[in-house]
Amino acid sequence: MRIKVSVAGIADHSVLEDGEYLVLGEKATIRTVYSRLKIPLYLRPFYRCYLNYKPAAMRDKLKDGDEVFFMTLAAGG
Amino acid sequence: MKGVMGKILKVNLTAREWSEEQIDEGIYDQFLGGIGLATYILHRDIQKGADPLGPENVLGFVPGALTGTGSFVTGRFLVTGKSPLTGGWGDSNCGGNFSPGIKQAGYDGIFFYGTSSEPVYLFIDNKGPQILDASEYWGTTDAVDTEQQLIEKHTLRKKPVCVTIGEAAEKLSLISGIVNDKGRIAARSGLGAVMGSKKLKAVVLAGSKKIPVAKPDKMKEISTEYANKVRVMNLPGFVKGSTFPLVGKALGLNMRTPMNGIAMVGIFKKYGTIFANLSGLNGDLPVKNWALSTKHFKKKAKKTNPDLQLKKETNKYHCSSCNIGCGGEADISNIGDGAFKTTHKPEYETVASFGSLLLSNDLDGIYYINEICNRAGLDTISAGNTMAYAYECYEKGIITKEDTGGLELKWGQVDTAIEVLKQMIRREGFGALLADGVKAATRKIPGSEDCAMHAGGQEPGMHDPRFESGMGLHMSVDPTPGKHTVGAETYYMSTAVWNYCSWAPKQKLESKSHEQEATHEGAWKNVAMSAMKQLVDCSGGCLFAMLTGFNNWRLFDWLNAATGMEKSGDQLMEIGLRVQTMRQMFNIREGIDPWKNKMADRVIGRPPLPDGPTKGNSFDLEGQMQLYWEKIGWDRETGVPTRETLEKLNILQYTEA
Ligand code: SF4
Repeated sequence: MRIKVSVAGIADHSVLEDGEYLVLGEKATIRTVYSRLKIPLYLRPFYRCYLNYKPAAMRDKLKDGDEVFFMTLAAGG
Repeated sequence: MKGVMGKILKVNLTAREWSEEQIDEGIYDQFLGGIGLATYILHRDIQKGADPLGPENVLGFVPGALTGTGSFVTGRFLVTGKSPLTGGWGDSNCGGNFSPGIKQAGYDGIFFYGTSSEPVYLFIDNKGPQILDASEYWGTTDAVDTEQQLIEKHTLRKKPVCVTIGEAAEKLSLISGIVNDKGRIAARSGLGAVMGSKKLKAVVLAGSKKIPVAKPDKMKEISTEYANKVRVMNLPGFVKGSTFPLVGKALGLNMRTPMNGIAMVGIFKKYGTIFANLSGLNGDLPVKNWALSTKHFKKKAKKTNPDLQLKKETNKYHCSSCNIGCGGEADISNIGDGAFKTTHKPEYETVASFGSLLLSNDLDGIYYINEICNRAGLDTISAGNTMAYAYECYEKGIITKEDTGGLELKWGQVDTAIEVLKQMIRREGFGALLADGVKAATRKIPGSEDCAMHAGGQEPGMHDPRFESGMGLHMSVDPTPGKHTVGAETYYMSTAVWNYCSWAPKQKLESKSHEQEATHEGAWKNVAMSAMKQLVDCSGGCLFAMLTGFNNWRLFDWLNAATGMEKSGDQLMEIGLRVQTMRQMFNIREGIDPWKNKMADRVIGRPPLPDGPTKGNSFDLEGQMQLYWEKIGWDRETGVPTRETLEKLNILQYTEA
């Protein structure tokens, strides 16, 4: 499956296709996204994850075409 | 075209008469509304070389094409005219509830010509406009109280909306603005002084005309989608103001990536702009008249923690049609001499202007200053920069106690600033030297030029170009220089404009330091940034909504649904380019050399700061300006729009002097 992802610079963007798509196997969850993006455990509290514009939990299952983005608690500048 | 009212009101204050002008469909097609419509009217009706404070200047109030149509966050208006501060195109964007009132009065703009011999105000209800005597308010009643009294006076079935001026504008301060909703202020460009020069104390609107919409069902569909997205975006309870600076670098904010802008909503809902009080410690916050890095304010900044501001907040505040609601009101009856009961929550801009810029963290003092400025109608950004200029002049011995009337201007002291501010508003004593901003002050205080931070006469907003070079570029290339609301890379990366406009580069993952170079791709982004911001200002939109991304805040779709147009993203962005070029042509006609709008050297890192998060940062501003000019179709060497560009945008006929 292919999902759309938007995430701050600390994540591993090299895994993204066209800078914004992540290809995942079936049964992937939000937890898979965190680990594929290599967001360090100690930083995870500073992210809040949304799946299709609703707050997401680690165990939430994904499907093709989903949109995942992160509210970074240090946004702005 | 739907969405608009099809006509404007022209008020001749000299003759005390008014007339209506029907606007051709073709003009809306080219300029849409809002600021676009204003560029057309002002080019036509302000004669070249007009005195900004004379009867020949024209002062316009314009809502947007989307205002009152059922779209979200599109209830802002612009005040426009020739700026007495810069001598060129002046505009100032403001929220509150005034904007839909213009359309409900039946107009897409209200334009004031001439000068009244006595103080007056304009009142419009469904029976039509009346020019009424305002002498009882002039010189006696501040902007906030005038608004309240006029609203009481004219409330029948409907509560009117109102803009007013305070003492600073009555006394023609070039850094004065126009006030509404108890202290929202169209602060920039010195347009309060233009209103003061016309002896126009207020505009009161009580109309209830219907605003036509082409496709109401489509409007509803788009608005519902946005409402649903905004509703769920809330900050988790554990997030505190102190979180912001701690995690900035760790989270990769030294990198640019395309961000889903809707994620910003949680921050805006909880804090509004004050989240930047502390996130600005990453290098964005100017310190001690832009002379020091944030390293020197780190300890003091704790007292400006946004959570302390939230504690003072008594209620949240939303502008018209806004479902984000970044504003707030605060009880200040215990502050200072207790002269004021409430004030709007001071924005980050005000907290920085009278905080870090003066090396002060006296939050109570800042709240008090905020209310003084709101009631007098003084721009806190310009006033804070001017105060910091005076403090530096004093520190360097350029001025002494003899000049200040015995006042000691010591960094960190807000009490003295309050006294000087009151003098500035009254144009008395030492304050009279500062009443018109830093550029005018340098003419009265010889040898002080190096202490004066401005671009083309206007003092900079509180975002440091050494932290984000694009801010410095836009503060220098925009026809109203010095503004922090016209463009920056941080803004661009969350807009997703590249999904709508074929020539707007897609944001890629890249290092922030890359922006400091003059690149072709960077220039295209900056041009797209200007075009989209002008489009937003044609529509009545809010910058903060734009930052939630056009993929969420579907401006392009709303515009077509409200007006019935079927314009592509490229065609709509061309309107933005047209408006930006009209604004620049106004400056050219007034003899302004675009190079002279360049931001002061210190602010852009010349010399660079020796320490702190932006240590060593400087950037090729001139190279970036030239590339911006080249891409937008203005002469690369002079910044003058080329004839080819004027023809392509179909505005040659409006701009020929
Ligand atoms: S986001 Fe804030 S400034 Fe913008 S319209 Fe809403 S309340 Fe007003």
